[in-house]
Amino acid sequence: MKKIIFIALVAAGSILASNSYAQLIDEKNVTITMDLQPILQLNMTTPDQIDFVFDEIPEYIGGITKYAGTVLKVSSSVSWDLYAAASSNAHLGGVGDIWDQQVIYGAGTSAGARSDLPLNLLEMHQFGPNNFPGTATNFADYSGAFRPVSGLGTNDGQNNVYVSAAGTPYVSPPDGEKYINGGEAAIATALVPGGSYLTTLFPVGTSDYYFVIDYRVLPGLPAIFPLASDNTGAVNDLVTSGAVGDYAQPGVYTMDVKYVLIENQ
Amino acid sequence: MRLLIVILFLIVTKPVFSQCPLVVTAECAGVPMSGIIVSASQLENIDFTFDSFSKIIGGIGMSGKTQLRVKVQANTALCKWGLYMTIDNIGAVGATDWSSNVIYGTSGNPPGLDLLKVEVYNGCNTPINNRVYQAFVTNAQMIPIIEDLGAINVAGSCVTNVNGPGNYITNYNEFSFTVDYRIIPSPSLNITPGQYSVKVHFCLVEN
Repeated sequence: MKKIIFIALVAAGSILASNSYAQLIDEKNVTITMDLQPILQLNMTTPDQIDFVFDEIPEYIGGITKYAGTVLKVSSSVSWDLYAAASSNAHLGGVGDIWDQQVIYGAGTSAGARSDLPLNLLEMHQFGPNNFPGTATNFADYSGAFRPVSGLGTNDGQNNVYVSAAGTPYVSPPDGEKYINGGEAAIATALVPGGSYLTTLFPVGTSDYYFVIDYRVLPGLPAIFPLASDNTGAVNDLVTSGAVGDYAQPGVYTMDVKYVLIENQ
Repeated sequence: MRLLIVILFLIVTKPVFSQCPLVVTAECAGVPMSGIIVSASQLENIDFTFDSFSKIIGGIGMSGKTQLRVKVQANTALCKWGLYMTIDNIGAVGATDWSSNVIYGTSGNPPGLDLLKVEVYNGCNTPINNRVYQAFVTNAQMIPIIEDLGAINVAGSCVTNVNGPGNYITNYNEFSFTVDYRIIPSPSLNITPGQYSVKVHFCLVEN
């Protein structure tokens, strides 16, 4: 009986196998590859140079504000952060977090005349808040309105530009420093999802991909830059960092503001 | 022991078409009297390169990148055929993901198979989802182009689902199929940048 079953199975197998080869079945394959490159695109509309010329006493007292000095537009296929970092040759060279003095007006020998103007005397205001901030309790962005000239002691550091401690603008600000949008990579919620100003049609001022930046420099009288401060509110005007009677030496000074768009991984 | 020999015999002699439906009848003639003809150039890789933001948001379409020409010869009057496409994610970890060749970062999510949209059409609109972009959701999923709906629609009728014997030479508009591909990797999907691959199989089988 077992032999009969065995022979029957072999016969069935042979029949099935031989029929399979005669049946219609054909196959063609195509391979599809997709190369997704990370796109981080920052479009910036700004003059090559933003000049603050102080040649009238009211300008020293009230400062000069450059409204909409820079417009930033972001398109990104990946999660990202955007920050501004102040820099100068002195900063990069490790001399100090100060402006570069290009020209001195006068002999430059007056007692109390200082040329080491702090980088963070520059104030910025962003139109469109940081909706993805870190966890720090300090100011997470530049969205607060410029303080009045008499505002010293209230919200100190609110608008002052970020200056990296490492002497390079390419080190991302730590948690507790200002980002225009996003935050330190270690904070899981502090990142902006991919998107573009081209496709996100939010009401003006609320887009996560479109920012308008105002700048202000307020020398004060005497010119000690009373609102200069870091993000913790530690004031570093020329008197606080020096001595009573110090003031800014007349001359031409320059500094850079770098806008850095980085992938948040 | 004998039983083992029988099983081995059956396995060895059984043709393996892992991506195509199982065929159990022989009303139609086999290859080479019947089959799919695709030019060699169309079997090369189809490359989608997203290197600008406009391509990311607008997508890339590849029109007519694959053209299938079919011929089916009958053994009996009951011969009817089907054409299917299946997807192979080449061993990707997730059943719904593309296979990654290299990744350019760590943030984001792997791309889903449904990112790839495929449409098939011909002159007589015979595909059952003619000119409709369709997507695969999971690995090995099968999408019919011509399927078994019971009746035999003969060549020359120029209706939906022509599945009787014929060939692309005498009835080109029913036995040739143009395949378009499209991918739109919207930034909102937060896909990890990298290079990914899948295979699409086209199967011609007797129904």
